[in-house]
Amino acid sequence: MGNPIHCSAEEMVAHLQSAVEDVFQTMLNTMITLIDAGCAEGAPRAALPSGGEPARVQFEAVVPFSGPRNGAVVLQCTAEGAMDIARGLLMLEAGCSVPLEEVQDAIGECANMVSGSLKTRALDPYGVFHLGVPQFGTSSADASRRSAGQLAFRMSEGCAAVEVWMEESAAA
Amino acid sequence: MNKVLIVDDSSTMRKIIMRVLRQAEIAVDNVIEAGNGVEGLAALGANPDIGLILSDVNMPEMNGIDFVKAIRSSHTKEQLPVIMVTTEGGGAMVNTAMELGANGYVCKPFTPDSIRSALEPYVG
Ligand SMILES: [Mg+2]
Repeated sequence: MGNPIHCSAEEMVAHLQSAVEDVFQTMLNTMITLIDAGCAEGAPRAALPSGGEPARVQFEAVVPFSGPRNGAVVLQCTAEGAMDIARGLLMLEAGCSVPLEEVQDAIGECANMVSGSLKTRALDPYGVFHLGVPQFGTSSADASRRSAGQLAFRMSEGCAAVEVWMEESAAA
Repeated sequence: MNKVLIVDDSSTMRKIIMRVLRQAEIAVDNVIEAGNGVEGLAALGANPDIGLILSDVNMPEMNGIDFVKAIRSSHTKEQLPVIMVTTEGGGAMVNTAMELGANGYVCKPFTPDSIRSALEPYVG
């Protein structure tokens, strides 16, 4: 179909899961429990349930990528999920509080590592791609981008979701 | 004798690397931190006795590629080893950094062992 990225939606979700598990096991010593995985057409799903209700996204880091197709990897967390990630990366005890600035930096670096791991698996085989530096609080609701796969998971206290966005290819 | 410069735009990653250096029992007397290549060059100017650099690739202001290029205009690989610590494992960025004179690289996510083996040739 003239699409420069031949990775299917199913493959993208599988790569995303491998990338997330790689980062969380190696760097956070944390096992994740999958809540949801798939490829949502169009708008992103708010896939962070807590109890019966959708949980509020409190932290978001966006790592843009450019190459044969442009897009972004978006990491969203609940407040508890963000603390799980910060404590995991910094190897702090459960319940230990982390300053907001350090939580934000940890979310950015986590998104950066997941993006790098995903790039190696899902993008590099199809061309030369470049990752940008993590951005914060940048809404991913960009009409020209479509979800190419997403994964929501639970850690010890909270939840997080990672979604890959791609711009529509110019001409298929 | 080993003064190490860690250059990474994430303070979290700088802390992780410092912890891994301790865990790996790498004898480091002093660690200096910088948030990008520009800060890294300033730190090197202020601390000419830095003996080893660990640098991220993807950073604002000055990335790790331009940082290595700048260092190699004044220091050889033997004089000042630079190890890249990067998420871009198989990517073009790492190849470019190696061509420009990086001594080696470690991919994030990393284990303490992978940092230890990358640094072993350069630390006592
Ligand atoms: Mg970086």
